[in-house]
Amino acid sequence: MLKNVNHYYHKTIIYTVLMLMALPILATLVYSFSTKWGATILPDGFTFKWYIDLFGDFRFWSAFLRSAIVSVGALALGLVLLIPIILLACHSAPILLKYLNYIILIPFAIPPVVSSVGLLQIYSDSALNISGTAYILIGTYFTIIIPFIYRSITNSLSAVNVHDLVDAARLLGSSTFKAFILVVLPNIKKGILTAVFISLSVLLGEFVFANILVGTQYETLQVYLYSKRVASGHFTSALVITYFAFIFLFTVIASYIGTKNELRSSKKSV
Amino acid sequence: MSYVQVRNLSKSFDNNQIFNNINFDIHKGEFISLLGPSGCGKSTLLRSIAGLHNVDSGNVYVDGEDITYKDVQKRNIGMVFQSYALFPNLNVFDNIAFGLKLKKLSKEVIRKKVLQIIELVDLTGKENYYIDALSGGQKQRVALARALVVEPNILLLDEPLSALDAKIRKKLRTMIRQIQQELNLTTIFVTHDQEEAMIMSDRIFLMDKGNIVQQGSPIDIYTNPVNKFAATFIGNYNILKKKFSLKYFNLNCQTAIRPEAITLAISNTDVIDYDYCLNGRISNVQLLGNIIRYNVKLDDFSLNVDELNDINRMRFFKQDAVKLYFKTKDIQPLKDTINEF
Ligand SMILES: Nc1ncnc2c1ncn2[C@@H]1O[C@H](COP(=O)(O)OP(=O)(O)OP(=O)(O)O)[C@@H](O)[C@H]1O
Ligand SMILES: [Mg+2]
Repeated sequence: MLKNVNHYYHKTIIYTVLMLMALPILATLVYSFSTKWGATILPDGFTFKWYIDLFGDFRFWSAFLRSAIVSVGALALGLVLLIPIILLACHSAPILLKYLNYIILIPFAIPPVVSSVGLLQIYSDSALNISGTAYILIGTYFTIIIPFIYRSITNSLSAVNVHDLVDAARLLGSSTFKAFILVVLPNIKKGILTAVFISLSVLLGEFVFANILVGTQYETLQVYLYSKRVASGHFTSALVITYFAFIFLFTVIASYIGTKNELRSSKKSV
Repeated sequence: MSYVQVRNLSKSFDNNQIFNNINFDIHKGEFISLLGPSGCGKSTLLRSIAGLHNVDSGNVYVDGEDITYKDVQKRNIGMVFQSYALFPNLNVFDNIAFGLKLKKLSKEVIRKKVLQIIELVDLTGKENYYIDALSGGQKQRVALARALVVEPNILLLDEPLSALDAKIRKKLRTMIRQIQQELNLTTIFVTHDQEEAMIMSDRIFLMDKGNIVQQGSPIDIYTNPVNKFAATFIGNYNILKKKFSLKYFNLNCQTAIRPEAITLAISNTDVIDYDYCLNGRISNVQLLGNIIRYNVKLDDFSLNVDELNDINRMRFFKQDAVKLYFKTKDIQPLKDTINEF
């Protein structure tokens, strides 16, 4: 009995908080579909006009594509560089992980406005002049997502006995490299996917670096949103909702992959 | 010539010497238990033989071939880990087939071999289960099957049973021993459980602080411990200091006496033959199931005496005055040093 009461009590709190958090999004959603919403509680009428305008705007699609290119580029760079480093450290020199734990906090510790100035300095002086291009943004985004990638992968690694798995595979005739591919990578798939979706969500919403480092020279989704702030509020609402829809989709995909893995392994023996 | 020969093998981790100048021989098809307390270097020795650690010096020969510097992949040594080390992303069948696939055998051959070994370890029907869905005992049987299916020259088992509950342990150790004898497989089994080592092994290598202090058959190790470590690690020996050994038994060294080798009686009429007789008083009585353990206080020291818990037998109680009878052959002289055997 007591357990049930507790249960309802918890549920009430959770749903209230959820509702409160969802309210602005709901309001934005309604606003993006309304013709005019001024002094009344409910909008005057509903329309798809703002979405039609948005999806009909060529600038929106190119901004979206640019955002996707830099995000995916940074993500690919991050995964390709970090996964081998983490795996090697984990297998051969676990003590390194202790230092890495601190190093990866640096991107968190320095505010983007500060580090972007430093980054501009570095890149405009260097031999390859990439300031103002998409490349500088990929490089910068890479540093932003390092902590996310590192954390998700080390988290999923902690459930895997890398050392013994690799040793077992080697004794059965596999090279160390092959052992990583065949028996370690598949077991941190979840961590990698988490890293992918968190990174994409963070990067698609990134504005400060994009605006300072490249600005309108390479207009990303958030820079586009910013430039449209003077346009109709209904239009920007439609843009924000579209953006949310994407993030939501990513999250659903990520959690779907997660539960699929669990279902498979929870097939208990009798 | 012995099948496995280990010669002057030494290994250290950053100036920390784990073992030094280890030597032993193992015959083809022999089951050896490497028995010793935690941290004495058992796993390190096993992993060095497997090639998972580089040794500092010394050699390992298998079937006459020096494999000290051979690649792990080419040694054809099977190993079962305490942590199971099964691949969670693969099901039972694919875990066991892993080594065969790397050998590029045909699908039918792999299938036949895997199913055969699955039957041997009694896991038929579990082929498609993922590792997470298995019990500890089932996991360890998969690990055993995975190591056996590639037909290794040597099987190394690093405390494969220590994570399992007592009942499963007993079942699995019988299974391992049976399969080992059936396949005539040279096996080294690491354990810190003396009972396990006694029951399963042809010979036991007793290890302490990186040294093999004694090697011999279970009965030999049990009845003739060479030093204090061996006597305390195996059985529940009473250890007597040098001065008391000299005073009472005329032996100028530490001695060890098995608790069941001492006979208790109120008067000397019960005992037919003995070499020494001492007086004592019962200070404690413990019932250990089929055995009653008496703690007897003598003038200078106390001794444990085990008697069968038999209703026809005379029982003693706390504070009873008793006589203790010893035979010379049961008083085992011990070496002072533990560095040689
Ligand atoms: N990779 C390593 N690096 C440094 N020291 C190590 C390493 N592996 C083991 N050691 C040290 O070697 C010693 C022996 O360890 P080992 O694992 O061989 O003991 P063990 O007899 O197997 O013990 P247990 O019964 O607890 O498994 C320990 O003191 C341990 O700290
Ligand atoms: Mg060990």
